[in-house]
Amino acid sequence: MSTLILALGNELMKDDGVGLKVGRILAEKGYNVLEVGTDIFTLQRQYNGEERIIIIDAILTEKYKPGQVVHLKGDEAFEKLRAEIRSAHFMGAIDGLKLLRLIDKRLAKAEIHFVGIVAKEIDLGMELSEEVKGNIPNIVNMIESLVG
Amino acid sequence: MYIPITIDHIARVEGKGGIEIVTSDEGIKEVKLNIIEGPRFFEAITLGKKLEEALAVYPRICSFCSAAHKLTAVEAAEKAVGFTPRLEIQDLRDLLYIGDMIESHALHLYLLVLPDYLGYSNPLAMVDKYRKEIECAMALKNIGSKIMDYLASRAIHQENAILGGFGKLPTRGQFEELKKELKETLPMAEYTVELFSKFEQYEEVKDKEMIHMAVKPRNGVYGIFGDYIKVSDGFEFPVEDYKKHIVEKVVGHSFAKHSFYNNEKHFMVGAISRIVNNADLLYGKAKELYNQYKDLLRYDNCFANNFAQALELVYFVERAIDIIDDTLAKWPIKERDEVEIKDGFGVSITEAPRGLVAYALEVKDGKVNYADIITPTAMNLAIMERHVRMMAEKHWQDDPETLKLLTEMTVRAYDPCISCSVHVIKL
Repeated sequence: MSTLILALGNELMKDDGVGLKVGRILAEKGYNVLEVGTDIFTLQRQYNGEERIIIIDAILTEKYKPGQVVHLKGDEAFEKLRAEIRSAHFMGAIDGLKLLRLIDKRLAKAEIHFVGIVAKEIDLGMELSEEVKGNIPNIVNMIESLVG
Repeated sequence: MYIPITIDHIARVEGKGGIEIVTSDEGIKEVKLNIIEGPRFFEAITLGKKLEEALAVYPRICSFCSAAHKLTAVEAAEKAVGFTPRLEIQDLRDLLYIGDMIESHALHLYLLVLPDYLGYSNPLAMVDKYRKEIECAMALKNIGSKIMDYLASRAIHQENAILGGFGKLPTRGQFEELKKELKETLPMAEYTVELFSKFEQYEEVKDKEMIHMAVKPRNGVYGIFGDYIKVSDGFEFPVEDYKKHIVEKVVGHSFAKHSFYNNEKHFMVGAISRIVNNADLLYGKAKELYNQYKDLLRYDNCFANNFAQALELVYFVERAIDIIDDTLAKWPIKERDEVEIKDGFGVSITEAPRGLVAYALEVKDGKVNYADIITPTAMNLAIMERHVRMMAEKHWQDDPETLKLLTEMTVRAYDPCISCSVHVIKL
């Protein structure tokens, strides 16, 4: 199954950059990675019809510890994450993806996975927290096993 | 009895801002636009940094208009060191900037403003019925982003626009591809004009005292770069004199300063301000549409800014095609010239999508010794607050939801970028 890994986040905002950092490690290993930063809409013009899309981004939640990974698939991602992640602008990445899927039939067919990494701190700065940084190898392994 | 009505977070604008309205039995007592975005210290961050390094930091002020920040900073830096770019390079910078303009206008009009007029809370809710409009938004946004990708290495926080020109230019084939796609997008820009011509410009904020400020385009073509600022009262001043005529003041309820013309008058910047000051420089289809819809391009109503952006979409799509034609006629083009870094001081004011953005840079020993930035939203905040008050004065007795919607729509008409507007000069 062809797979596109979408790396989201803002590396100037500490743990919000974890999606980009994980994405770069996977790109170096040869995986098909697209860095969209905070602009999910970039996906539409760069999308080549991959059957599976894996989104990696930071999430803020008190339900899990910093660095932990939340994996959601398909509708579950759209239902649970509506208010969890927001770009710097007005629409969260998941809502943006939902919008794109409604106007782009190819995207509507793709299998969606969301890999959220629980952030400790989202504030000005380029360093990841120890908790998030320390779990990056596991996050990379997990995504590699997802791609199969 | 005083009754506060508070909108903690204005929806569908960039950044964090709120509206606070205090009413009593007699009417409105107080209206404040509370800018709660945290200070970001961009000027202070770059002090003492190498000039090239600082030029990579400035576009980070905003992802919506990073090309605007990048190119204005580069021009201020080139002026500081006494360098003037070749005309071909200037044209390609215009093209890059136009990519930003098209993307930003399309997102603002279709995804932030349109839901208000169609009675939806967000763009997602309107897709089923208004699919064509969302497709227009995405097509226009995509071509704007693609222009920035090709000319500046990526759509956000571009690195390829540098002192003296560009690190690398797109290929001839890439320019041809952009031209083809721009032509395909033109009908969507024209549709935007038709669509937005139908929407109300609320008389509640009609303001005969309005003053508009815009760049006087350098080459006599409606656009972005210039050496003088035109004011709608007939005054003009060189960009170097901006501090004399655009005075920033600290206000207690806002992390962003308010700006005043000649220390006392409110003024507006943005698409409608460009049209008010420079409509005679429009050409092509945009000029035809201007003549057809002149009555909607009102100087006395901030809601006209939405329609002015729609008209500019047509103009900038056509202008981008013209620049590509000129570029291909001169092909091949040298991507940059060497720039010698000398001590000096330079000011650049350009037309960002939402209005004037000013950069003043002093370079000493190759490093930034002084930096001052004023963003369009910081310039618009004072007049925006006045118009929110005018709207609130007419609707304070209506139900809170109506008051909330109409005051928020007033703010959205300015297309504010609140994150950009918050800055502090000294730590």
